[in-house]
Amino acid sequence: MIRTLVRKSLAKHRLVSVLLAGFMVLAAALVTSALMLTVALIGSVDRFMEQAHTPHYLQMHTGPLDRARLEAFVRQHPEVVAHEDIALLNVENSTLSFNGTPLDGEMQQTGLAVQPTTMDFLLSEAGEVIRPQRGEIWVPQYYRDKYDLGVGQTVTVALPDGPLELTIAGAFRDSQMNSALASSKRLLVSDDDYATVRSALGVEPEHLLSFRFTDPGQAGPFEAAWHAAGLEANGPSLNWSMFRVVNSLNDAITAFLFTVMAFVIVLIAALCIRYTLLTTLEEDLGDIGVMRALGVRQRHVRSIYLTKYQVLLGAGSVVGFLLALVLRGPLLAGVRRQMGTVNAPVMGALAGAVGVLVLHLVVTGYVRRVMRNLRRIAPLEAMRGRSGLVTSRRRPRPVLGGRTGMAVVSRLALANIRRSRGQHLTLVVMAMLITVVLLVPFRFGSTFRSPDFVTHMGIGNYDLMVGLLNRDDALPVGSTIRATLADDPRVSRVEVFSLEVETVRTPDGRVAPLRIDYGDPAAFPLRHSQGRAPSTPSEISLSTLNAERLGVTVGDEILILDDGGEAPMTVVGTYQDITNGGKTSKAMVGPTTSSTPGSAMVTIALTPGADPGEVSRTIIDAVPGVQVLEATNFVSQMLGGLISVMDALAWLCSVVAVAIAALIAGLSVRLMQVQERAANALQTALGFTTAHLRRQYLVRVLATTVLGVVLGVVLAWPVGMVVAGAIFGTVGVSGVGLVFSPLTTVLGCLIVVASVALVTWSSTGRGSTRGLVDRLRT
Amino acid sequence: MTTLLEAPALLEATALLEATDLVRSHREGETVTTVLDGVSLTVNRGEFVAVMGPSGSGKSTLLHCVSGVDQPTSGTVRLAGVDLDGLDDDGRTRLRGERLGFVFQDPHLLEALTVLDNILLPSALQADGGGDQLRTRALELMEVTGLAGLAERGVNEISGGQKQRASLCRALLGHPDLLFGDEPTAALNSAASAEVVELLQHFNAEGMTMVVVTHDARVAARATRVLFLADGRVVDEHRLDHGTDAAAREQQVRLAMAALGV
Ligand SMILES: Nc1ncnc2c1ncn2[C@@H]1O[C@H](COP(=O)(O)OP(=O)(O)OP(=O)(O)O)[C@@H](O)[C@H]1O
Ligand SMILES: [Mg+2]
Repeated sequence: MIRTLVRKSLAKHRLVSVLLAGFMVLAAALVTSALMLTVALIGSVDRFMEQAHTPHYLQMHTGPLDRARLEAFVRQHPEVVAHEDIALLNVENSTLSFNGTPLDGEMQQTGLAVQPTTMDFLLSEAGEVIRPQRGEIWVPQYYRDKYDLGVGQTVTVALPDGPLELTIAGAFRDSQMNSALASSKRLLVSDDDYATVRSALGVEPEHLLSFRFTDPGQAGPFEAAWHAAGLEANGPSLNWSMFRVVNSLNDAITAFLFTVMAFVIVLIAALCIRYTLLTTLEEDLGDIGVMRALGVRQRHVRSIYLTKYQVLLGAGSVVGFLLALVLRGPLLAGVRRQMGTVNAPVMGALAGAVGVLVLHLVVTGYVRRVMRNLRRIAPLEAMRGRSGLVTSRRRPRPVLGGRTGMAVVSRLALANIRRSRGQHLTLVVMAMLITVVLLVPFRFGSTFRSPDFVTHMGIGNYDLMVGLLNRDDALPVGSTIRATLADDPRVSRVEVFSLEVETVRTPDGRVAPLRIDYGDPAAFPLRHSQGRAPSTPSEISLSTLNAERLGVTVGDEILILDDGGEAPMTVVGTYQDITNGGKTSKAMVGPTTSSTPGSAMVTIALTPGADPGEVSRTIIDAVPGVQVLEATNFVSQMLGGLISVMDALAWLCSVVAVAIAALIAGLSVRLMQVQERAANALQTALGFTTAHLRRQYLVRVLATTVLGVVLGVVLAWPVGMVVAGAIFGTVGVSGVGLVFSPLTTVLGCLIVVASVALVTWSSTGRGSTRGLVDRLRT
Repeated sequence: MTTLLEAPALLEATALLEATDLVRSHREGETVTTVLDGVSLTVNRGEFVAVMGPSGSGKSTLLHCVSGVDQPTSGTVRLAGVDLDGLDDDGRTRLRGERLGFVFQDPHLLEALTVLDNILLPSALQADGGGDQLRTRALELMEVTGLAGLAERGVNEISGGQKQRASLCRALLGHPDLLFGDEPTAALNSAASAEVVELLQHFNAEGMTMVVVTHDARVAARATRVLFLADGRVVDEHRLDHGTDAAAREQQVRLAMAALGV
């Protein structure tokens, strides 16, 4: 008899059963994919970096290099297994073109390189160390994907005595610079072509002083010793663990997103199970009551319902797992292309299987928990159709007062909310969580887009930037640009910053190089995470990484060593910076003698409505050959990937959130209707029309939803802060206040409320007297 | 709603309730149970009709069918000049809310509401303002039916008899044109039963038409007409002469009951 009963109830809830199994399929597929991706990454990144002999430590330097001193230093450090001065011949992007299209708009700095001999190998996708022929050029995967480059296409380098045409022979895997987060990219050419370009352009290459140790962990002490010995270091330094993070970041984010999505879907599934299970129990209540009264043991009843869900969820798990296995190709293709072969596919599948098993156990465990409610069903009560599963036995309070008409309906709704408080509280909490999930990602999008955001990253809020790097005439050119734009009505502010590498002594006696950007810090103010910007010549503010590196905090004093003299500077603030490897500092006035080669940066703010392109042309006309960058491009190229991921995530979240809101509303209204079928029948008999009943449910669901949404809007602040800390932290930014967009917030809330209202409205359509007598009979 | 109220002249002229050839059968698989087997019933304005008959004879079903709570398998019901068949669910519901009062065999009160709110509910829903007067009248009715002091109680905190009286108050409060009572005194002792019957007669005297199912000859003796049902058919009908005294009428009902073996 019980078996028939359960089969009947399964058929009755066919749609929800299918939905549940569907959720399980999705969750299992996502869990498996996330785990396979993670396992693939863990092995593959390390193997790839071993294959490529990625440097453990890398110091960039431009300018003369004392090789004898360098060799002597290395001899004193037995932990150095290999070292190499890898040359990168930086060329202006405007001199390069892919298939005839100049690379003008590219934010990445591009350089020509030859295959190194001992480390930092540039590998083909088959894993071989590439040896380019004369006339051949290999491009990084980043450019291949961005510019859709293919074998046989051409790269042209504009040289004073005519262009050099090179044919693309393929794309290489770069274990160091391939990520969008790295600020330069290299193109691999033959030794001959490299020599041709170098002599034709007459430029000195940048030195990538690369080292490999017996153990990657020795990079830290080695760097300290390097600076203590005063060796060349006017560029940023990088190490193996940074390369590792950069190489796995994109796929790690994907794996993370999959995990989060799987988690959310499991949560939804759990909620659906709760509602359907309670609904089923309510509907079968009379029968269960009779069985219980006749002596059927509770455990028996419970095990039969449990079996149903175990079968349903088990099938979903298996299908989801298999689906993920079948579809793993495209998922792992990205990893395979960049990292070479995917590590241990069997291990990944195994991890996926274990993950799905855990998932299955967790969900069925939850079903078991909900089933414990069955114990609360007393046989007698059940026979009378009263379960007490969710309704309280609290004494009702007078609600009608002197009210008449429609107000009576709303009041009755309030009485019902009071009566089944737990059930309505669930709805409040759900609406709250859904609102948070809906609002927080959108706030990230608004924050990234706000012009203010870059000031958290060590970049002023300017419109145009001219970088004059490593050239003897950097400051004079800067002055020329300033003079050119001085009376230009389209320009509201021009500031020239002199970028110097000084030697400083810290309070604990260490000597280290420090890049200082000299110029008026008030011109394009930065957000300081601590303290403030310098306001007198004897004050300095440091990027957070530099403050950590030098071991100083706000209030400390550092000494700038300058031709035997010492100039004390007080640290008045620290700020986050993502430029120049995060290691910069800001002060007001530079030293009278500037070291060579000098670098400078001109930043320009435009008046509203001015065309940045036209101003750029004015600058280029005045100083031919300089590259003018538009700040919007700057941000979108550097953070473009992250912004589009956040946007996609925000849309996904909102669609999922609204769908869940609708689903939950539908399921809970259904549960209420089942529980209250006798009360509804009575009301119909007493003259409550469909509209009255519907309005009652609308009031109940909307009152709880609106309360939840309001709480959610409030809760979105602290949650946003926590998530912001985690996400902005990955790009090295902290203390960012999320931008509150009233329009998105109001729209988001309205959509949640509207979808819930719509579902409630449409699922309360049948206020019919069909079966009314039967229900009144009980 | 307005169309009904705009035609009082028409209503005066016709019977308040006119049911013709009602058949109500239940089909379960192959077996068809016929509960009402061609019942016709006409109730004029101001009448007090008692319906009697053995258990399972179809009394409740008849009440449900003529009030639009249930739908007959065949036959027509005209209520206040309106054909129930021509109305949809909501139309019938609205008609019930506006014109009918109902005392069910089981009291059926809403557990989310207090006793007073239960009594107020249908009348307050139909009313447009005047809620305070309704409240006062409800409290008076409770007083009369012996429910004084129970207004703020929960439904589960009062006895079965008290629930039934609350259910009666709920039906009377709206001053329906037509009141259906399905054994409204079943759960009451004889003293309480007498008071309830007194109340019914009072409202009937004020013009409220009544159709009341009962097993109690003393209750039926207050009616102007007694209808006997057996196996889904009307088997007997007696007009009671209110010129005679109550005891004589009761005797008349008892004789009829005995003749039919009720
Ligand atoms: N859904 C149903 N299916 C089949 N038979 C039904 C159904 N509902 C009621 N009946 C039958 O209809 C008959 C009349 O029921 P009804 O409730 O009208 O009787 P009654 O005269 O009011 O009896 P009582 O005095 O006991 O209240 C009964 O025999 C009952 O078994
Ligand atoms: Mg009955």
